[in-house]
Amino acid sequence: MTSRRRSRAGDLKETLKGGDARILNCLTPHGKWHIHSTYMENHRMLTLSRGCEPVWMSEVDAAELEIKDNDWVEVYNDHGVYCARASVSARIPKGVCIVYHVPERTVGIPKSQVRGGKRAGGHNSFTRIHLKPNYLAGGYGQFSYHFNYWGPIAPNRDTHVIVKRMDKVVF
Amino acid sequence: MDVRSQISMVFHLDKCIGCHTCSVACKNIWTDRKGAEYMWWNNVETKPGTGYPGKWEDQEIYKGGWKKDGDKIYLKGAGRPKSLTNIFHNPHLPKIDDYYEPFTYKYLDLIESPAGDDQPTARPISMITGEPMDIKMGPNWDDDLSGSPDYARNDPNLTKLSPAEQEAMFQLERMAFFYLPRICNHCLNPACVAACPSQAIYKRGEDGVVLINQNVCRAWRMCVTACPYKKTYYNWNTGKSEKCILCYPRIESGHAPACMHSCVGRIRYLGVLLYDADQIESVASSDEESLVDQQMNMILDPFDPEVIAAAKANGVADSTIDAAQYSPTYKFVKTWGLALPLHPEFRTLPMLFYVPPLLPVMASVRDVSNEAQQEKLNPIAKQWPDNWLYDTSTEEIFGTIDQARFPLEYMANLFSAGDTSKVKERIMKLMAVRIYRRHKTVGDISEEKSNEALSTAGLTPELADAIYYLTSLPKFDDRFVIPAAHREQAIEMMEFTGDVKGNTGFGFKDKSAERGS
Amino acid sequence: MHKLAEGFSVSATVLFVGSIMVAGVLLHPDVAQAKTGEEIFQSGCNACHTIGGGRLVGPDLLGVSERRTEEWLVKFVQHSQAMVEAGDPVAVGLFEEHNKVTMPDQALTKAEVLAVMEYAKTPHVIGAAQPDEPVALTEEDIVLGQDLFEGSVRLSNGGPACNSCHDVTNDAVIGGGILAKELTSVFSRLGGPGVRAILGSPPFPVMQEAYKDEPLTELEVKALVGFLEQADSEQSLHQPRDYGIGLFTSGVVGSGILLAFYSLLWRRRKRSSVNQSIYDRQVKST
Repeated sequence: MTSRRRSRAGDLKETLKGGDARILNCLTPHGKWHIHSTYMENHRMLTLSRGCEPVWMSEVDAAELEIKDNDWVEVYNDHGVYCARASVSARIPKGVCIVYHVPERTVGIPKSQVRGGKRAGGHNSFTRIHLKPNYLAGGYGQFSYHFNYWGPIAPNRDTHVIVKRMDKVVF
Repeated sequence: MDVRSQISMVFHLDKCIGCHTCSVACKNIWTDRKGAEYMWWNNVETKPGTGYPGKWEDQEIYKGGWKKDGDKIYLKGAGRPKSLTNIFHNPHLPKIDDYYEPFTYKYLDLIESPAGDDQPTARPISMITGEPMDIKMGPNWDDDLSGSPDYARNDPNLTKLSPAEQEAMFQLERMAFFYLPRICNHCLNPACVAACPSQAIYKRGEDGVVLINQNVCRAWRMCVTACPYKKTYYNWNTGKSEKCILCYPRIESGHAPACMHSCVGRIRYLGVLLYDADQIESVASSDEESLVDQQMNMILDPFDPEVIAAAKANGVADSTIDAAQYSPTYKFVKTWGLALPLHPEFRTLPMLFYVPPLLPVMASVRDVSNEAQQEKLNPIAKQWPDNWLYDTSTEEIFGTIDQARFPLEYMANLFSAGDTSKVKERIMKLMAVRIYRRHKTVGDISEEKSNEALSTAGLTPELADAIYYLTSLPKFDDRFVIPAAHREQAIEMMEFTGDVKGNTGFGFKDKSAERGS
Repeated sequence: MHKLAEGFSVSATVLFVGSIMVAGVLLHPDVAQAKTGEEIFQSGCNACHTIGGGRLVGPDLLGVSERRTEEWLVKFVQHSQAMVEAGDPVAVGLFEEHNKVTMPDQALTKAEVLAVMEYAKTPHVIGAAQPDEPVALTEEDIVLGQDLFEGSVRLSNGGPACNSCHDVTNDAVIGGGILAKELTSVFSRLGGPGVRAILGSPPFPVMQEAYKDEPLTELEVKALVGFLEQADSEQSLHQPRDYGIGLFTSGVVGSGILLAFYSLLWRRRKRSSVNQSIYDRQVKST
């Protein structure tokens, strides 16, 4: 591993103990159907997208990682894992992967293989959550881990992750 | 001269943001039913891309539309002899996997699963079989160049481009894409109508809307094969084929179709065109090079007294002629010459026209030295070995058109049967209007230069203002000029109105509904 | 108020319809005009019975009213089959005696039956076929009989062909209907005069109705009787043909040829989805 890559591996210290891997910068730009808190998880919008919230990757990275379009992948780092389908596109620059919006693991997300077959992933699992003290006040809905919970969201995920193809898809 | 009226549409592609509000509006109203789950009478595609159903434009696969043989045209995949030999089997039909297998999720599992170590998840299940399935296709699968190695790079419109030109379209810094919303074209020479062995499909006399009579349809599905735009769909539940009805119940009551009404980008225009039905056969069977021009020629001037007289003689209502004179589609298609039909080479004479997108041509890539700039780039940034620069300057007024990110050939394959000059002519006009407006509002272009641009494109400041108005500022009633339906005439054809005259509100009355009775 | 008005209109309707029905019954010509015993006898009974002419299909009716009680006779004419089934000893005896040919139930009123019995008190040997009288039949007659039975030659008065309802096991004619009795051995069951009499004036209600205005001619009756006699005597020669394994084999081979033909016709068909290779490479979930 080069020193340049090591410097970006703050979120990958444990993960990289498993061996050298391709590190991608995971970003969260606004998708066209995700203006602010707009969810696209109703049936109509899931049909119009890919039935899930995919991970967009560049053709170059995908070829190196032996990932083809619509393969199930696991995006993970020290904090957590997110299972999704890959959307391989010429539109994404090399070295970057994009997840537009919150994926809910309640809708069609298989069990994570890198986490020993547990239902892992979802939401902000691979970003560090910074709790503001006022989130803890009152016990209101904004800090409840349930379906569609409205927890503290790291507004923009800008973290480093490893992407791995899932060879086994178990729901 | 056999003058008839046709409700036609113009989609201004520069304004489309690809939000699919049209698709959702249409789906919610018309195809949210059993057997119609996979149908999207209105869909929006990303171009380049293979669309929905996959590669619908490739008629070597689907055998849709007409082909010219000698002086006449024949249906490519249907017609009497072919229907007879394919009487038990329709060999070129799209499969459900060409569209997509409609899916939903087993949401009940979320609340009914037994307690376990893991939280449950709602698996995708097929809306046809109810069995668990893997989602592998959708109606908008290649949205925003998603899966470009599999889909965008296999766009049938790319085949006529050289490999180098194709590759250039997928370089990150040069890349562009646009959205192509599609509904039924309500063609003047519809292949679906010609192919139907049961004669269930007809083109409505008063406004040219193409409809399938659900009582007559016998599930031959020849229309599905014959329509080159793949805009007729077979409902597996009712055993009948269905298609876009241009929301005729809305049109008859003066409302715009749902897709147009809901359009966020306000890209859609609807209005009446008068055309000469005598010319249909000769225009549809003309040479490929003259197809577009001929189609434009058969659209008649609604201000011409001769045309008006012929229209009246043919029973076209005065209100319809009036609507034709105010028609926004007539302006885009004929007066300004800005719009083109989609794939005119299918020879169905589509009545949905597209203003080609200008966006990818406004910026170009210039040949400069990139090395100095690359020194400053972040090491993780993608480095290109070429010396191109993204350039938006307009020093040479139309110089950027030929070096556009989107090769003109690609646009021409879509909108003018491969003739780049037709696309270029329209893009020049669009560009001239932009230059003119830039002179007016930004002020960084001189009047001299702006006038030069307008005159080269064949426009005047007045025309440019009109184009600007209808493109950027139109009100609802400017975009949709819907003629009165005159259903009374249709009723008069069926029954003698004297029989019921004076009867309304008088005479026998059915037992009225009574609360508690 | 509303309900009352409704009730009134319903009872008015019932009254109106009812009075029309009563009037209809009273004015009906058939009821008003009784037929004589002779007319009734000639219009059906004479197909199977004689009065003093001896036994035909059924027994001679001369003086039948002296042999049986009035009540029994009326019941038997109206419901003979039910009586046989119920096991009435006299009825069963008659049934066995007459080759198990059932007498069709006649739609006659009690008065009409009694009128016939009155008529049958004296002999009337007219109109009834003469038993055992030899009939000269030619080959042409039999062929005509076949054609008439099959319907390839129309009955001259326009009546329906026999095989609309009847079937006969005979290679010369195509299979007929199964609405009425199978007629292969009708000749031995009823005898020539019986068949002839039935064809001349059918006693069976459906047949009666079918040929009411379109009776068979003398020649047609003769030809059909000839054909039925031949069919009966030759029935052992006309068994359904056994094609053995050949029929099955030709079916299989024929389907094979058709399949090959259509495969050839559809060799350029679209075999799979345009994206099949993309779908195939994807990992299937479990």
